[in-house]
Amino acid sequence: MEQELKQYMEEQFMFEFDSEITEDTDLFKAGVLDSFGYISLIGHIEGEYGVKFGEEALLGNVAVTFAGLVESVASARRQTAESK
Amino acid sequence: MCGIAGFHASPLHPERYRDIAGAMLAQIEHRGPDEAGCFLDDRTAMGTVRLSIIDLASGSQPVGSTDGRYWLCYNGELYNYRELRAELAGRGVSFRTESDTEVVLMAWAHWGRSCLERFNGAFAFALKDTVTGELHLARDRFGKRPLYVARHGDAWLFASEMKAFLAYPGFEFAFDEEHLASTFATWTPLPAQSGYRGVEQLPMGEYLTVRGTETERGRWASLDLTGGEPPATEDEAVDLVRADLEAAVDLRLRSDVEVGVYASGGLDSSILAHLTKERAGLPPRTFSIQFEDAEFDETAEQEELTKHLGTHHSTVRVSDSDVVETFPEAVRHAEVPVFRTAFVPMYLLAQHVRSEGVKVVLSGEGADEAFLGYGIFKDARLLSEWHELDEATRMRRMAQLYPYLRHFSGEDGHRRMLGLYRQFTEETMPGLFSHQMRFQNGRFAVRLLKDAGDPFAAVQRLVAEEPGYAELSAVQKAQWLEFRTLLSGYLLATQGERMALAHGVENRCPFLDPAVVRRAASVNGRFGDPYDEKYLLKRAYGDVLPERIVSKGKFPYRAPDSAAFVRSRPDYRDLLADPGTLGDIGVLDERFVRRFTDRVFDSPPERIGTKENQAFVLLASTVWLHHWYVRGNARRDTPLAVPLYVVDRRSSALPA
Repeated sequence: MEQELKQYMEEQFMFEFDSEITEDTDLFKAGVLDSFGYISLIGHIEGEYGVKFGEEALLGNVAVTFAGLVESVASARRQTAESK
Repeated sequence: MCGIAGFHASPLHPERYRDIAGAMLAQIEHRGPDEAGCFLDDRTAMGTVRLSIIDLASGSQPVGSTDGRYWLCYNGELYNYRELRAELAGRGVSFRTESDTEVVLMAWAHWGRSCLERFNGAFAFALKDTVTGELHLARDRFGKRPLYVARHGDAWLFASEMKAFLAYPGFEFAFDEEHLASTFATWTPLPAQSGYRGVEQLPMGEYLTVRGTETERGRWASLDLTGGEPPATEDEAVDLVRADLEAAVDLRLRSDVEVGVYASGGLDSSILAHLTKERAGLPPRTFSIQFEDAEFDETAEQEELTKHLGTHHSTVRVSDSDVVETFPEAVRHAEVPVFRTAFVPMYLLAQHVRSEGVKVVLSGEGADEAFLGYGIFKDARLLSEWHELDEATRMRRMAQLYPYLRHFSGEDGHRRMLGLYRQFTEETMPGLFSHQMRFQNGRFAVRLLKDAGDPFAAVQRLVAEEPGYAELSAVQKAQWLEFRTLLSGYLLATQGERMALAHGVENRCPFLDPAVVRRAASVNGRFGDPYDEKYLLKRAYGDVLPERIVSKGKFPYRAPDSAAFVRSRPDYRDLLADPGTLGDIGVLDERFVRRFTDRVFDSPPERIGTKENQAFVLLASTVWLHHWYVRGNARRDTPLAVPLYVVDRRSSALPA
């Protein structure tokens, strides 16, 4: 999932994860994400990985780095599994 | 309306002044095709091309005071000229013409620079004091009329449009990287920026005096958004807003030629069309744009309004290919980088208006800034209250923010917006809280530039140095930024007067009357739901306009951006990414430009978001500006089509 998501983001937002833009880079500050891009990305993740981000994940201020996104997906999946 | 151009303290021989002044004026003749005149002495050459609106017969320029001390080259209209004329006449000042230009001149002669505070108008001018040798330059309070100033060696060049500088011997344009980075990030040039090295724009409400080798600068009008004592009741507020707008329209109907109205189908211009009919006593001629692309079209609202008012309405229908094919010439008139294509249809509209024989129009600019019409003001309010709201309230507010944007719609859209907005609830860009989201989005376009540095350094300096700015509320700061960036840097300039004056059409903006802006400041947020934009305007005119227009909600005027180029001119991919051109331009990051243009031309339009569209138009306009200005192709070598009237005070012209 991580590799696929990276590839999607690199293609969608026209950048490469490298020494300058890492998994911990704030993607807004790097000029990678904008409002439209963020909404599209969250939509993509929810649709592609079968999760639905709740308030906690969206408001947790982690979803603007790659690492934060991956952690949010994992967390949302755990919650989905627990609730089943 | 007119255009002015000239130079001062030039090392060139005064024998050459007449030809150079004439050539500079020829570059901007579109602004004033009716007459041309200039004043020359041994230090200064300055002239005007005139579009005759008031006192058609005797309002010629340049105009000098009766004692010959002051000479004025004036661009604009002084709306309260009759009142000032009467006041000056009461003080013994005599007038030779009926023109507003002479009132400006005599007001300066009588009161000095402090006359500016009495002016209600849209203007920029150059005034020569032949006794002190001073050259005074001044500009109106909201930046409705342009005035650019350039240094070239020891000489000062000035003009309504920068293209006039192309006719000054040896002058060359070069992009200013800091200006470009700031413009790409914040959408528009800042008040003093031009986009080019060594060229500044005289900021709105400021003056510049050149005295020998010294200069004096200052501000004569500041932007007061705190407002006075609010009216006691909503009904009283509605009455006052109506009265101020009626007075503002009355002043702007003063003209010796017919006044039309731009009627977009939106609330603001509909109010103006209604008021023009009421105040002038008959329906005005109205003009609007129709788009072939239904996403942008407002024909239904326009038809309902014009039928309702019984105006004589005509439209110009705009297709993708019209936008793309007109883009280069519209950019030539814009002169600065542009972030959306919506100015191009305005160029075509002005062309149509002029062909219909109309040269003055009222338009609705300023209403959204004064009466809080934009989503960004609701953003600022919501973000500043964020921590006090529960999730249900936040979700409800989200639905009120941008109902016209597809990606922000529906329950999923609003839920996802929570995460987006959460990123901007703390001020991380000092002074720019309300605009952090917009400016962050602008970082993408900055990637087109090499070595951009900090693209927000200039705008942060601007707010840090503004007296009283820190004390404003979040919404007022947002307003201040809108007045100082998008309104003056794009809506009034590129999309407004530059496109209108390209065809000799003068635009007038009643919502930017100082009394209207002051009134708006005193009533904003005091009545009704602050998330219902322009609540008081709707209250004031809801009963006289079609329901459809009043209840529609904000629908920003837009035009097709990158998709129009992709659909109708695929060759733009090669034009924009041409290695020779990019190498010549120098300031663009060639690798990213190529990747970006490939992305735009290879993707389905729904995959292209706002930031890509803005970056695309910024890139395309920069490439054309390089062609027109840096390479100098905007220069016209044809002389003025009208005779140049010369007031010659050079030593060589004086009797021996």
